[in-house]
Amino acid sequence: MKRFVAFGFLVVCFLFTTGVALAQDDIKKHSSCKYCGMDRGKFAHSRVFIEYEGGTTEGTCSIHCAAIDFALNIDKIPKMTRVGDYNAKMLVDTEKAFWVIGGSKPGVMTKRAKWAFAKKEDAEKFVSENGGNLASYEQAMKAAFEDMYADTKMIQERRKMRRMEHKHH
Amino acid sequence: MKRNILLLCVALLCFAGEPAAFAQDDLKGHPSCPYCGMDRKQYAHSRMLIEYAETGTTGVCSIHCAASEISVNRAKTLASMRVADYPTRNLILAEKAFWVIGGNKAGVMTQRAKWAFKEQEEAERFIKENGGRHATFHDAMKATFEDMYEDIKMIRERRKARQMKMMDLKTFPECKYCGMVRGKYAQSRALIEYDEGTAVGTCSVHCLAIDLALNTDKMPKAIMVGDYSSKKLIEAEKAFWVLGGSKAGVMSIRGKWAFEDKEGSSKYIKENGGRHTNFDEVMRASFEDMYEILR
Repeated sequence: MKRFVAFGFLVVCFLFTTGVALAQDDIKKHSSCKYCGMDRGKFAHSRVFIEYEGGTTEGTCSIHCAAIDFALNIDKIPKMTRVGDYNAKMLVDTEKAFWVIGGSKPGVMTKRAKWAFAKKEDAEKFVSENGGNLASYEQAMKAAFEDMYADTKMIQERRKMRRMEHKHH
Repeated sequence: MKRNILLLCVALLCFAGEPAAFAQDDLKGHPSCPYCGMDRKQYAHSRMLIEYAETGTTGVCSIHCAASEISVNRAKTLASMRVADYPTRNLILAEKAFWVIGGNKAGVMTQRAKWAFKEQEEAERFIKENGGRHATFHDAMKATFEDMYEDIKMIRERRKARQMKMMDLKTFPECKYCGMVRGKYAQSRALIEYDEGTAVGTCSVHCLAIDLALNTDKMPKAIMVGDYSSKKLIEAEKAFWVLGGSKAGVMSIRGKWAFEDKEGSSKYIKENGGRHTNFDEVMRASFEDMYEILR
């Protein structure tokens, strides 16, 4: 009996570690975001992994940079898009994920955060603790594009100010 | 005195010519859009030119691709953004332009058009004739980002549909009868599907006629031909056909060309001669011409 329990434990351990390894494979493949250069391991909770028809893949730090990738590759058809689960950081299908737009936690590359959760309960818990609204992937992606202009302007303004300050010193 | 007037005229001509030359210079430096690959001369009325403080300039086809450009290069400092004045095609500062969002003219890379005008009266006239609403550059850029997701989806769907209409070139790369590469003759190729499930790809209606003559026991389910302009497959029965004209036909002296719309076939006739006809007459002509080739 004891042997069975030990064997079962080993199997569970093996499955768990393989799962985690598989879930992190995309970070090995795309260690930094193509567009902003940020470390995808550091932003595993918001990272996006895109597989295009034809076999090419792309890894970004967030849905914001994934939206840029879509805008630049309109001739490619995405076969599968996955996103990091906010809590467990494993990749989940963006279409099946439960999204939260907004809330008090600062977003990645955006003023208005967009987070994905594998489980609805987790998304609801996040909303009750940090605010924001439950959304679909479609709504999150649309919001990413809508916010892109304001986010781009905000960064450009910041850089402009910094340049001005350097000139005065 | 006369010399002074002459000098003044020459000077005025130089000044007048300079902005016009500058206005079109960007087309030489940036002939195609780096994002969608479209010819910027063809889209001279919607094109944009973005200048950075750190690096040079980038020329794009539209405000849609300009939005992609500034998103990717948000770390760079924008020195200026210019857009084409819709009626004259001259470049003007995007911030100072009078913008129109929407209207019934098809937009560039978007379902909801965004056009820029140097003169307010021109923008007003456009709205009166084509609809749409007044906007600032900020409004137009905001609308571009708002529309981008839907536009990307639309463009992808369109491209997918176009690819499907070219798939026959992979399935039947060569003409069954003459062996010619069908991709090279995409504008004249034909595809016939029979009731019993078989299909044959040919280079032209000439070889299609041969296939029909050899398979009188089979019933054609669908006959498709390449559109002369876009090269995508269209229904042969519904196509607007042109018979003859100055361009030599494929496997035939007399050209037989198919067009998806009458605008295309009329334009062809205007430029190359020939006359409008239907698929039935084209098939008859193919058999008639066949004898001439063999002779």
